[in-house]
Amino acid sequence: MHKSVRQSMAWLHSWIGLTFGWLLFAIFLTGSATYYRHEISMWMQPQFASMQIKQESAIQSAFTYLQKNAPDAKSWYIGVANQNTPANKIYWQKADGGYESKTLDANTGKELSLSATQGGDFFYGFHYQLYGMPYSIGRLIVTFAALIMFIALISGIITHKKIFTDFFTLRAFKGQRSYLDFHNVSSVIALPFFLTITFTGLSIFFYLLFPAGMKKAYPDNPYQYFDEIRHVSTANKAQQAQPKNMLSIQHFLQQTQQQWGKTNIDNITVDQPNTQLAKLTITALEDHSITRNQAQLSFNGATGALIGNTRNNSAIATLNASMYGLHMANFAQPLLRLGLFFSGLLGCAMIASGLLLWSLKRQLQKKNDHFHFGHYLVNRLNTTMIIGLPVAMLGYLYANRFVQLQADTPNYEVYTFFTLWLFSFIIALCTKQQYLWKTQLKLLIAMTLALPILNVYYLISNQYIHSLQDY
Amino acid sequence: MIIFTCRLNDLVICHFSDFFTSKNHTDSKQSCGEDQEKTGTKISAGVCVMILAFAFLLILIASYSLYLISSKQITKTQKSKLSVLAQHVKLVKVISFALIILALFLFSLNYGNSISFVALCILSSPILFGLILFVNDLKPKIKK
Repeated sequence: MHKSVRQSMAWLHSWIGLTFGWLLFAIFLTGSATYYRHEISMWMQPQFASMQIKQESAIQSAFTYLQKNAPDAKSWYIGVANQNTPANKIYWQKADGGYESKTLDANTGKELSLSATQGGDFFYGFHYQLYGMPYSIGRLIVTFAALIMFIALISGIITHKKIFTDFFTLRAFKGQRSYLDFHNVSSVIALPFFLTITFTGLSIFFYLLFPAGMKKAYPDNPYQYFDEIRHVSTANKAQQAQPKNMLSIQHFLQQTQQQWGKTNIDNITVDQPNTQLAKLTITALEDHSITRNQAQLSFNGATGALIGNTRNNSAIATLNASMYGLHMANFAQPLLRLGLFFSGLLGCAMIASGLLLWSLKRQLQKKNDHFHFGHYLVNRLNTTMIIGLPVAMLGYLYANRFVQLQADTPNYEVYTFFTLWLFSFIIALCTKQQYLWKTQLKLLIAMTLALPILNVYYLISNQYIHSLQDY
Repeated sequence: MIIFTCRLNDLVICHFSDFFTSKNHTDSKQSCGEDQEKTGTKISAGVCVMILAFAFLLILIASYSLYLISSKQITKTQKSKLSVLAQHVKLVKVISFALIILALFLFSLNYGNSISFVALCILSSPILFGLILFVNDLKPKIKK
C-alpha cells in the first residue's frame, strides 16, 4: 500500500517511540533528577550538611597530604571542597602510570572513610551509562537511544499536522484525543529543550557511533583526542624534568586572588610536581557561559611565573565545550536549574503520554475480548516505568534512611532501587487491568508523602537537627 | 515603576560598560548577586528578581496575545472585550514578538548573552504550560 510521507513518519514515530520509550523515559527521569544530584548527595549524607568549608585551608591540607604521600607522582588533581561537595577529592598518577584516589576531610586533611552511598551520582551515572554492565556497552545503548529519540522528535514534528494551530489546544476527558493533545502540548512547548538535550547528548558520545574519525587521527591512543580538545600543550618535550621544590601553595593562591578577587575554586591540577617543569593550574568554580569557560590560571610551580592560557580555544574545541556545557548546564542558576528540571519532567510526560496513547489506541481498535500478549505486556511495562521507576527512586532514598552503609558494605541502596523496580513489574504482571494503575499510584503517593516525615524523624533521632525549626 | 526604570538604566549602562572594558567577556556575565559581591556595584538581588519577574510578565503577555489571535480563538476574541486585538492581527504579532525580544534582553542583563537565549527557551516552558492549563476548560463535563 502506498503511504504518504506523513503516514510513514507517523508509523516510524509510533513504533520507535514504543520500542525505546521505556528506556528513554528512564533516561529522562534520572537525567532530570541529575540536575539536583549534589543536593541529593548532600541529603543522603547529612553529616556533611552542616560542615563549614574554608577553601584556603582545604587546599593547604590537600597539598600537604600530596607532598607527603605522592611527592614523585606524574600529576596531581585536587577537587577542592565547596558548598556542594564538602570534602577534598584528590587523585594522582603514580610514577608507574597507575592512579590512586582519596577523599580527604577539608579541614583536617585526614583520609575519610565514606559510606558506600552513591548519592545523586547514581542517577547521574544511570542516565548515561545505565548500571551493572561495562561502561562502554551502557554508553553505547544510551547513545543509540538518544539517536532514536532524535529520529522520533524529527518524525514527530513532520507527523504533527497543526503544530501552530493546535499550539494552545488541550481537551480534557475526551479519551484518546486528550492523550494526543497532552502529548502534543508537552512536546511542542519544550521542543527546543528536547532537541538541544538530545543533540548535545549525542554529540558528547559521538565517538561511540562514529569511531572511525578518532581512530584515523589518533591510531595509537584515541583518548589523546580528549586531552588535545581541552588543552594546548605547552610542555617542552626536549627538556628533562629535574627535581626542584615547588613554591608554597599560598603563593599561588595570593596570585590568584590578585587576578580574580575572592573567588571559589573548583579544582587544582599539577603536572610533573616537584620538578622545574611543574605546571600548576587553578580553575574557578563559577561557570558563566555555555561553553564551560571557567576562568583558569596556570603557573610554573617552581618559579611561580604565570603561564599563558593553556585552554584550547579553537572553533572546534569551543563547539565541543558548548555541547558539554549545554547538556550539563553547570551555568544554570537556581531558577534556571528549576526550569531545566521542569523541562526534563515535561520530557517524561511527553514520553509517558505517547506510550499510553499507543496502548489506548490499540485497546480501542481491538474488536474482540481475546487475550493479546503484546498489549498485556505493553500495559504492564508502562506501569512499571511510569510509576515503578519513581517508586524505585523513592525506595533508593528510603533505603538511605533505613540502612547505615559503611565504606566496605554492599550498596543496599542500589539493591533496593532495582528490587523495588522489579517488584513493581511483578505486581503489574499479577494485577488485573482495572486495578493496575490505582495500586501502584497509591503506593507512589504514600511513599512521596511519608518521606519528608521519615526524614525529619531520622534527622532528629540522629541529632543532625534538634527541632523542626532547625530543619 | 520609575525607580525600577532608573535602576534598570543603571544596570544596562553597567552591562555595556562591562562589555567594552572587561578583558574576558565571560567574566562580566555574573548573576546579579555575584556582581554586587565582586564589583561593588549597587545592583541588588531585589532588582534581579524584578527583572526576572518583568521578563516573565512580558512573555506571558506576548503568549496570551498570540493565543487570542490564534486561528482557533480569533472568532471568540472578535466577540469579546478584546476585539480590538482581532482587528489588528499583524500588529499584535509584531508587538508580541517584540516583547519576547525585550524579555530576551532582560534575561541577558541577568545571565549574559549566550545563557539568556537558553533561559528564554527554558523559562518560557512553564509559563506556556501554565497558560495552556489556564485557557483550556479542563473540568469534567457533567452529562444532563
